[in-house]
Amino acid sequence: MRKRGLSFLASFWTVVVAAVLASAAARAADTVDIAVIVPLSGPNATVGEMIVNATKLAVEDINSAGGIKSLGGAKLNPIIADATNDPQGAVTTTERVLSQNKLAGAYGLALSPLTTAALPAFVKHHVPVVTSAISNTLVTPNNGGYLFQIAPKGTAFGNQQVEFLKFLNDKYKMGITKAAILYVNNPYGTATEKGIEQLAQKAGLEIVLNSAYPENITDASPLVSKIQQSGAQVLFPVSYITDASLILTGLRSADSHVLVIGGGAGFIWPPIGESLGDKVNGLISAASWNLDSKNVKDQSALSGVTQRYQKAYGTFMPEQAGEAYAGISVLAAAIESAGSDDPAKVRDALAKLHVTGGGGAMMQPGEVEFDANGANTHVVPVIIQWQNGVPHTVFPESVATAEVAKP
Amino acid sequence: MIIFLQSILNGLLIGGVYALVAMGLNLMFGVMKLVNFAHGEFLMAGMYVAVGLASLGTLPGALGIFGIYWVALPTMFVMAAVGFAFYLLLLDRAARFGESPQILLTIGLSIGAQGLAQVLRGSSFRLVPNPINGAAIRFGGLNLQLGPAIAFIVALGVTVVMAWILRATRFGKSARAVAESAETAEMLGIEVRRVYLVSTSIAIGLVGLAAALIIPYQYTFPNVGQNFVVVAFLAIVIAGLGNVVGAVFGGLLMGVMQSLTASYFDLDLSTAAIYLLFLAVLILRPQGLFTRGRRTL
Amino acid sequence: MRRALVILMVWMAAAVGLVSSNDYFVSVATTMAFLALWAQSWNLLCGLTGNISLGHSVFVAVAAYVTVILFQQAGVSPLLGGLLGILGSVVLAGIVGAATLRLRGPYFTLATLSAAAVVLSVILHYSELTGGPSGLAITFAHDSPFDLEFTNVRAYFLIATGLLATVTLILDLLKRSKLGFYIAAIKSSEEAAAAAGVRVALVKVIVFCLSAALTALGGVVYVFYIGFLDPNFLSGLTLSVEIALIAVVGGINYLIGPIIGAIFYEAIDTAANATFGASGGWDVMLLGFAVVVLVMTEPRGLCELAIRLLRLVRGRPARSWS
Repeated sequence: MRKRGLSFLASFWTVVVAAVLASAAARAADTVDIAVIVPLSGPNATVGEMIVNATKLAVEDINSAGGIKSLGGAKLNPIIADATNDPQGAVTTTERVLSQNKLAGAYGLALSPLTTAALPAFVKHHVPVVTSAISNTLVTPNNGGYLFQIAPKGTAFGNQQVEFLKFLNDKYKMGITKAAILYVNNPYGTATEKGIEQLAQKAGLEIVLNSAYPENITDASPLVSKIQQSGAQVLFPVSYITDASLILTGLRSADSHVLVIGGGAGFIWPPIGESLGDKVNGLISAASWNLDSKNVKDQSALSGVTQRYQKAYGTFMPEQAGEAYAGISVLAAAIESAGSDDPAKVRDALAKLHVTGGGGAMMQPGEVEFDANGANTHVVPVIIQWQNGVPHTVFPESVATAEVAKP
Repeated sequence: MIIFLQSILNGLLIGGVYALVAMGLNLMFGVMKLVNFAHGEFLMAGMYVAVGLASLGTLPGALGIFGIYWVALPTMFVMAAVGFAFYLLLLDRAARFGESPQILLTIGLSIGAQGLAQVLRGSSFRLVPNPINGAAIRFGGLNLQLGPAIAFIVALGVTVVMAWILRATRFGKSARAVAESAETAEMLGIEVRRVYLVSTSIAIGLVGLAAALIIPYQYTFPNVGQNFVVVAFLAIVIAGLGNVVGAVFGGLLMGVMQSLTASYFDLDLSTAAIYLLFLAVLILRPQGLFTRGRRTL
Repeated sequence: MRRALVILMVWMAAAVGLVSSNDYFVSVATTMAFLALWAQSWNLLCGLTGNISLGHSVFVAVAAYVTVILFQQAGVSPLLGGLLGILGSVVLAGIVGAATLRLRGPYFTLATLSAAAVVLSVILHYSELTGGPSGLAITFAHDSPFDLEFTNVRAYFLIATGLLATVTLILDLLKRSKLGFYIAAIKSSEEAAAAAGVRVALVKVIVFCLSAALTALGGVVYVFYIGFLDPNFLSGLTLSVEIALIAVVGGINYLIGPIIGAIFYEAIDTAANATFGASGGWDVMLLGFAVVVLVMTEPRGLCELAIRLLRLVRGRPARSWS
């Protein structure tokens, strides 16, 4: 048994080594590699897919415009990897991709827990990562300096939801004073909720209900009951896809007239439009990005991108895709500016970057700059309202292109 | 008072759904002593079948707003066929394995099936638009969501049918005999393997029926089974493993428990409440709340 | 047998050392070591008593959280905090073990599953203390051995492998000890053992606690390796299932079974992710169906399969199915 055991293990180990080495990417001479590490399996795969779709478009556009000109027209090459659904997998994948490739930069990991877990690997390998993850804790002073958050911070969503309510209250004299907050119990939910709480009192709102609910619920009727019990006039829900649908249909079943101002995610991605049909029109939510904000609509190149996405993938360009397009473009701009594919130099370029045009201007308000902690200094979340089956930007005024229909 | 009644009502409805999902699981355990961890994935597969059929169109005319439910019977039969194949290809041989390998097998199947679903149908969330989603019956300050309500009624109906099958048909009697003791049943001339085959087909067929009933208001996506499977397990154990008729009550109890704790306490503790209820039942009355003595089916 | 294990461990460490310029490789090997460590601890309870626990992740979670909370909020060194964390897991195991004494088979399995789910709910709920769903991050810039902080991932690999070797040796010794004898007696017939004077309940609880303690030990080091506590993962069903899967896939009747299982599982997982990860679902599908194929071919696990193959190769008749 002793000897057999060892020879068995020897063959196993060889297989492992072979498999691992075999998957090392071959690198062409005049390409610049960037990694795109996002969840591509498990319940968040749908988010990863949106990002990969947008990446393909962005890379196509950048390369057909001449690639990275300061590197002699080198073509951008995205290396796509599955961050999986848990931090362990995220770290392993990140380590693999970073160790086996010579990367100029990366985009990932879409979800805050995965990004937080993988961040030390990026710092260790000196590879800058642009992220759409929203957690405030990602952009703190001791994060190593390699993270660049292109999306608004989590609390900013909550802030914007309340700001918009104030706007509606003023515009339509709605007299809403009682607010309910229901949020999914994950980092996205808790960060957004904080933002709502922060501003609600200042806005003169009384919070009559503030409750987390577990992920992956299959029934929202207790939530709806609680909302009705609380006497709330406005609901700020922060939900993923299934719960958003269950909450909205639950409210409709109970014939509730509470005003809903969603916190993004489930309220703005294509599935809710599909499931509610034309009953989705009128739904209001915050979003990191929307396809018809002024900065996008006013530029034919950018609105062209959204149309090409629609054509290629069959749905309107969702939030995560727009952010990814902007993020990849910003990364390319940094490589261009650094004149090098040395990731440490790219990081420095990102820190100093000021984007006002090109793909990066996809991100509202049309310019991108990062502060010392990596947060995007100019971005604000937008408020959208579904009209004719597509989300339209209605707030803030600086980027709005549609008028909000009275809820 | 309204709140209490509404909570109970909500709980019963969602419990009905759990019961429907759990029934097939319980049949398989009762007859074959197999805990099928891939049960959630059979539900998921059924949902994909149902959604596929539903996107071909809903039946107009007579069925009215219930038009989408035409998919129920076809889905059930398709899934029964899947169960048939599942038994022949895998379970027939696996029946001779020990308990650990069997659980391992179904776990592997569960993982693989989720991947397969993503490969075949992508990761997106699908819900075929239909009038049932969001529709409700309202009376006296209470509201009854139509989707879960219909599932509830079907759950009751299926329980009655299953009870009849188990009591009055030859298959049912054979199944009960096998559930009691496979060896004795074999000695008495019952073809145990055939009972296993039919039981599996019925069980998976039942979960297909459950799938068809929830697609009007639940999204279909590769991992959806995971949201239902654990509660289904808890429901059947609470009812009494193998107690097919009792599974309904197990489901209902879980649903009501979940609903009441969510309404009166913190929402995010409602899941803990179900698990605690479950643990309490296990420790205090392991044969289940709705099973007398050592009843096996 | 014992010598083989020591040789095995040294060989593994050396092999990794040879390719040590590749951090990825080391991190995969480290994950394998932790998984093997947990599977071994699991096997103590489940291989020897025949019950399948699908809640073992809870012992990782409890120990991890206690250690890190004490460390970050009270400045308690992880070496001491770790002991307290392990103690916490042991207490929990004592309670769960005692409560589930009379449960067998799927009842036991579901009870352990529920215990982990309840703890997860609690962790998520008391978010001021535990960081809630956002978890807790452990950041450090310099090595601090007494705080279990190492910037070089190889340090964790060595610790994990060392713990694995120790636990394996402990299990080996246990089998030949009096306690091991009682366990074997209980496994073959509880009634007979009780009739012979074995204090069945006490032994069962002790085994549960020991299994939990070893799992917790791995958990304490693991969180410093990963640098991040994600409650959904640490107290989640996925990890519990992984641990059980690995032990059974490797072979619960063999001392090195869980180790083989961990290598197999992690190798397929990472290779599938590396080759197919971007293709959406293929990697997961491959892993799941690999397990199915393995179980259908040899339900007793990889060790058994290896023995069968080697007998075949050497021309001896395959062992009969008994």
